[in-house]
Amino acid sequence: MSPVLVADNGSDVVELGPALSIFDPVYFGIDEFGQPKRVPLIERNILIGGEPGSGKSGLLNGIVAHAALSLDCRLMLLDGKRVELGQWRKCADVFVGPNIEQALKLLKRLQILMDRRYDYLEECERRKIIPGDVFTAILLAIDEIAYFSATVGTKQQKEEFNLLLRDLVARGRAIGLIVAAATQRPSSKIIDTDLRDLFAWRFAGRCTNDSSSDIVLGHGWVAKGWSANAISPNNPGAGLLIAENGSPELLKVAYLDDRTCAAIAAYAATLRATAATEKAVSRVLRSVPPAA
Amino acid sequence: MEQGLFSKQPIGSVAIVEPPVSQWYARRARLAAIVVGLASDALVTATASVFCRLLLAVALGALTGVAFALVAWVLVRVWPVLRVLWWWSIEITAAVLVVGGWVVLAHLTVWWIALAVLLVAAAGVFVPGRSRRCVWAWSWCLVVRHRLRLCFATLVRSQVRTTGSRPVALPLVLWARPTLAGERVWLWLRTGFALEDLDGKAPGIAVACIAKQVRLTGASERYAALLRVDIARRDPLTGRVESPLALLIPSLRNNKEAESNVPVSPAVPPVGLELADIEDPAPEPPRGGRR
Repeated sequence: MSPVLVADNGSDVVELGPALSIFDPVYFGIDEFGQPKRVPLIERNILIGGEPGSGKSGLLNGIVAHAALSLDCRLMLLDGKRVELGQWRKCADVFVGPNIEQALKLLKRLQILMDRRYDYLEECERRKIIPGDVFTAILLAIDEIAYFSATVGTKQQKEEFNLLLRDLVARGRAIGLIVAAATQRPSSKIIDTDLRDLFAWRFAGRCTNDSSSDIVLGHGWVAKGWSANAISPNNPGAGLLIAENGSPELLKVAYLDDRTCAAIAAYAATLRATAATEKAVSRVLRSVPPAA
Repeated sequence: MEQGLFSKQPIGSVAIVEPPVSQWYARRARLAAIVVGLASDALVTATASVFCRLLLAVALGALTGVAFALVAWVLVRVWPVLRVLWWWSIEITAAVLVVGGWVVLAHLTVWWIALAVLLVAAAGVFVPGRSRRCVWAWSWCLVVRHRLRLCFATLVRSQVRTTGSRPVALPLVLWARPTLAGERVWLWLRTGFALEDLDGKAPGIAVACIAKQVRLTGASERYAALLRVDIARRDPLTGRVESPLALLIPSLRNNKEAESNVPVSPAVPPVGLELADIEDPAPEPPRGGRR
């Protein structure tokens, strides 16, 4: 059973919890038959594309909200616009705004962390993170990836950003690093095609043409009848998702308005602070989990 | 009997007892009667011979064999009719309960009181929007079960007509429930059908189910026979979808503030947010270059 925590929010005592887990499937929205769509994100990466206002940030916020409420996941946020993920700043370990130097620093630190975790797993004769592990999963959420990979900074910085991100996406799966990246049109000018193909799961909000849809979902889906261009522009949040089914499915992403986002973020921040305090008080070394 | 029950039926009827099917059931009934009769004859004769004379045991066995064979023949022969009764069992049960309940009430009281109770109950179910929609949605589930069965029966008939093969057993319709878009039905395929055989049949099934779209997918990792049919007759993706995460937050659960309250930061005054408030940037100083 998940822990139930109690915290003081300044005015009165509120009861917190139960908390979520990043190992649980994340609620994305409803499918075309009205059924809730939950997608497991652990050991996965997701690329979110679509025209402006198509619901990219809605999905990214939903993923970040779930991760924020999960005490077994740390948040690292990169947001070129600052406001899309800015509400989660209080519960994030790192928040990087429109600053390529800070973004590169974060990615380098994550690369070092990844190497150390692999050293640890190697010592333990294990292959991947498991629920209740001694280290927590990490969600690296990047809104408007094009800002860092193709817009600001020198050519060298952009290339370094792409290389580092590619390494994190390629090797981060087993140590619990989840990368969720959003951009309008992830063409080869925005991110390297090799990096793009590493994202197993894709979400395409409405795209302005069939070519853009194929860029997000992967080449060939338009020919099979799946084009995000067919989605109505008056239906923001609707899009095509490729997840565990392996083929696209129509989806309507759940929307979190500003007030809800702020409330969840505040709650998650209190939850995390309370959990950290309790952990500090009764800190015990956990035994190494058995080999997975 | 054969001409009466199993004669030609109009297309659109629920009972699938077309002549080829009926002939197949007749052959099957004969075979079942012979096997069951002989087996029971042998068993009863062998068992009875322990307790009585052999001639008497043979006579007993023959009588029992004939009786069992008759029962088996009748059961197999009328199986299509029993199956139709089973298909309509929910409707039959509901009708019996409503009509029977009303008749019992009318006998216990007077007819106009029973009629008033019936009208009040009907109004209680059909007037409130929520219960009306619920009854309507579940009614569609019943309709869809029959329509799917009819559709598969048509497929079987066309298969028999084109290939001349033995009719394939119809899929079992396990359960149906309403969804936001329409209905979701689970099927269990019988020998002779596979999901791949239904490729390209979805539009036809959608027409049969009076729906816009139908999608057939496997419903089990273990059983290829278990199918899920999603039937869409409405588009549920037009409205706004709320995240269930909001229900976890006590302040959102309990505090119903007006959503028009746009949060503003008290630390930053809303100044300089229009273009008129922005001055032209200063010209860049000349780079390098010596004068």
